[in-house]
Amino acid sequence: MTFLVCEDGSEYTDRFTRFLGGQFRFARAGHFAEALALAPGAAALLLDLDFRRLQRELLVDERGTPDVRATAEVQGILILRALRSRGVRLPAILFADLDDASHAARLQAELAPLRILPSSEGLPRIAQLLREVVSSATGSVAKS
Amino acid sequence: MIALLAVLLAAAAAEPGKKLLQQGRPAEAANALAAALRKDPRNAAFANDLGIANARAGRPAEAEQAYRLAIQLGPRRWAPYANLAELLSTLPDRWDRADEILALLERGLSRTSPPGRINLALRVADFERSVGRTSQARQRLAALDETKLDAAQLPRARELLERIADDERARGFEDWPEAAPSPDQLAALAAAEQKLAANDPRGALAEVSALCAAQPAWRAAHRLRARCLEATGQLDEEARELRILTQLAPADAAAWRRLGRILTEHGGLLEANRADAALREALALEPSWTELWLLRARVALRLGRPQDAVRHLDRYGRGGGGDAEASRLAAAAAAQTGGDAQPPARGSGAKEPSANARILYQQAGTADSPESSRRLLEQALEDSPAFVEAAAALFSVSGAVPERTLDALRDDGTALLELAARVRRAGGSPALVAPWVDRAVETAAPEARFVRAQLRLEQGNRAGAIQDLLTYAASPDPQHLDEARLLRSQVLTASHTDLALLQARRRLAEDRPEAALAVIGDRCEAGVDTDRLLAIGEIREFSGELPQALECYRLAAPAPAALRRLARVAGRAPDARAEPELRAAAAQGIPEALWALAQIELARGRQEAALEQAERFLSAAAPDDPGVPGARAVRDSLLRSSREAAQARARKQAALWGGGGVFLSALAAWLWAGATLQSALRRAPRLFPHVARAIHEVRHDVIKHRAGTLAMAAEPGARREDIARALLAPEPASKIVARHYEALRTAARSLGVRLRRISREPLFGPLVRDLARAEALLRDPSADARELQAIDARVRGDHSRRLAGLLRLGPRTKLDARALAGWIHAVEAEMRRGGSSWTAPSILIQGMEVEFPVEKGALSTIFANLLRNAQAAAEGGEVIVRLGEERDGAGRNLTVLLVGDSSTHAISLEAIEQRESGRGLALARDLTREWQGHMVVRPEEPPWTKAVGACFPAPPA
Repeated sequence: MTFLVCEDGSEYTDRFTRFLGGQFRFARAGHFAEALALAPGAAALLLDLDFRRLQRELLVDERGTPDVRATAEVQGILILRALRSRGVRLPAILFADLDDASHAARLQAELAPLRILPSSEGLPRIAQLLREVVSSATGSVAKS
Repeated sequence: MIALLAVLLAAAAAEPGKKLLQQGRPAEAANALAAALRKDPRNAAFANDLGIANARAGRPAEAEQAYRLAIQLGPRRWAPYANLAELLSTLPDRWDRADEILALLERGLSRTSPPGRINLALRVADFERSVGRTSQARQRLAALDETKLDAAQLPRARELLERIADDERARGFEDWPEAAPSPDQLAALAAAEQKLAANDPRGALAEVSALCAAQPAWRAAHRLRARCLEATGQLDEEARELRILTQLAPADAAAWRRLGRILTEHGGLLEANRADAALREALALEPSWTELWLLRARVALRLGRPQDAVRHLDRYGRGGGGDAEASRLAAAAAAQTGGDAQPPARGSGAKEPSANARILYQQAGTADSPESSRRLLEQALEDSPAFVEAAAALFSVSGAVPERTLDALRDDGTALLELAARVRRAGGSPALVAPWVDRAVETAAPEARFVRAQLRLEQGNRAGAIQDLLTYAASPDPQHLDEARLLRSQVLTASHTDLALLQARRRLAEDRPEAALAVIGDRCEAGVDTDRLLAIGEIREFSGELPQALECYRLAAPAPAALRRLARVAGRAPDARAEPELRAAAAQGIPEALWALAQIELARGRQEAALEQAERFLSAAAPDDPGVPGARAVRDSLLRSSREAAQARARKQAALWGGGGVFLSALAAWLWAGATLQSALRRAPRLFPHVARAIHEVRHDVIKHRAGTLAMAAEPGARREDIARALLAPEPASKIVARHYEALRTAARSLGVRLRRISREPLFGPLVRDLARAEALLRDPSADARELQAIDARVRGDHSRRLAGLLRLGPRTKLDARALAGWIHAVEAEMRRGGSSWTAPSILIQGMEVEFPVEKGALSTIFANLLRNAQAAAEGGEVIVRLGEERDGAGRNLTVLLVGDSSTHAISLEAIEQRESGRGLALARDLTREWQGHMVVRPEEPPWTKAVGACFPAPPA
């Protein structure tokens, strides 16, 4: 089972692969288009929030339309929202330090299934969430 | 035949007279002999016998006439000369006639035969004694050859010597001739007397002292001076004055009494014997002063002689005394003896010879034969057995002392010694007198030990003699100590002592150091005998030549005596060259060395060492050590200076501490200087964008992607090297955080704020330390995973919360219409001053106010640039200002500041992005981005065409 990691770098992918590669497979998408393309083969989406390293031409708005004006800082949300708008309903985990709780709650409601994990969450917790994702997808009981 | 018959007849005529004389009927004998002389006027023997009879009959003039006649009739006969001498020696006018009489006697000596000459010489010597010419008498006796003296002459000669000695002793108590003061001195004495009477003793004392100085032998002046001293309470001086007075006038009974009283009442045990002697003198001169017996009793008790005290009290009682003090003293005497002290059964009074005994003794002295003398002496001793002189005289003629006499003297040690001395002079053997002397020792008679030592030495008993001499030397008041010393030199085996050293010491005692050096030399150099070095050193020391003395003692070291002397000298004249010897002395417990060392240390300026040595000296030295006062002074001085130094040191230390404090403060300032991020954000809100970026980077790069792996340390299957790589590669996480913080510091400095060093920063510091620790743990394969877990928990917990909390400290600026109008007026004024067109902008504010997460100045700058841009673009057209909130595609709440204009010139974000920084929209762009916002260009409803603005994430509620 493959998890699609959407990030402007490779940190998540590398880290997950290194530490959780034994349990899960991870595929990386560097921008919305790749995410949209890889999403069908993925069991879930793992999204970074900040895409400031991404070429501005690859930035998209919430509809998935390329927009150089789009804010790179929240590109992960925009990608997810775009994916959702494109019918991608994969469980998603957004790695974002949203200091506004209402914002986070809104996102989780609007972009469900979505879990927002702060940057401080450790890999074990992420692994657990991944297992939960797998469990919910396969119907098996995830081990905590 | 006829002549022979005449002689026989004459002898027969004289026989009755002689018989009467022998029968003790001198007057009748004189008549008979006178008759016989008339019958034979040229009979010298008759004349001599007549003289004897008259003398015994108490008719000295007739006796002298008869003796002179006998001499005239028989000038070669020694007896008339001798009898005349004996007769005249008792006559009161002998002093005036002494020369004439002695001339006569000298002629007799020249005329008489040798055998008679000895007898006559003895009589002449006795006459000379009687007239005070004792030295001539001694010379005369000394001229006699004892080997030629017969059994009767020898004891007589010795007895005469005793008498001469007695007379000399007695004459010692005669008053010296009185001084002859001048009339002025007499007047001055009278004036002083008046002053004393006028209760001005000090004035009187001054005057009389001057008189005493001018006339040292003036007894009256000394008496007055003694009274003045008494009046002024100067008892010691008074006693001294009284001694002088009694020396001048031994018959001054009052002086003796006063002296005895002072010494008894104010003198201690050491003065007790002098007190008793003074009291005895006073009583001898004035027996009516019976109260002096009480004083004598007190003195006797002080001397531990309760029996004497009892005897004195007995005298006091018999003399009519009745003071209650007597009872108290008697009780004290009884207590000393351990019971009731009884008066001696045979007091000295009982031993005194009776008058009859004395007459018999005198008659024995003039007896015409030894047998007669012996008989008279025996009669005298029958009467008075304790008559020592008679007993000794009897021994002279009989060779024995009656047992009764010895019994009578048994408890009178002094009398026994006297008897022994007289008997010895009369030829008695040591063995004879030894028991008496032993008994005298038993009675604790003064000087008995010395006498017995002499006796024992004579008997060859050296050990006994030494014992007695030692005891005698240890007695309280030995009267013949010098003689005892001499005797010791005869008794003791000659020591190996260098006599030169002793002689040198004697020279020193005579205050003749040069003579002492002459005896032993003055070579103080190596190789000289230690004792001699010491002696030379002592002489040098005596002379005050301390450096020379010290050198001698140094050469004599390490002899203990040398070290001690060296220490004492060095204490007065410290010399660092002697330090080794002084330290050796100190090690041997010689306190003086410590004092010397203290002074040496002091001279070196080593005050602490000096103080230590001085204190050691003071704790070890005898209280009367001469160095003690100096050491105390030095110690006190050093303590004072030490205190002052301590205070100075304290001040210096304080200064150092102050300096240290300053340094530490500086260090602290260096370490702690600067503001924390929280503080810095309050002081410089424009720092916030830098902080936010740094925190974002730390969160994303470090906490999320690096530290987030720490939790895997506890996961099975996780490889530590993977975690390590995540945290350490390509750069350790701690260094990344530190680098971000340093960037913050740089930014802060540009804003005029100094941030603390990272090690003291309360947010970044702990985070860096934890990360560094985790890195260190990860470098160690055997490191405990639990610590990594703990660090992970802190990073994800505390550190993350703190970082998030810091982001909430960002500045916020609330803009309402009023504030906005003010900003607008400012821009208007500026633009009008610049000649630009100005259109009053419309203001559209969503709600009453909008809060921007931007520092006010930055926000106003953004606004001003937006407004100026709009005014410029509008060229007098419409301008609108919009403030509101909206939600972006990411679902974030944004606060939006828009300034629209009616210009037909379009503008794009790309164009804005391409503008050069520093002015206009570029400045707004940069500031917006800095504050985590983004520029927007939106179309506006007419009359406006577009709006350019800045959007900022709304701050959390």
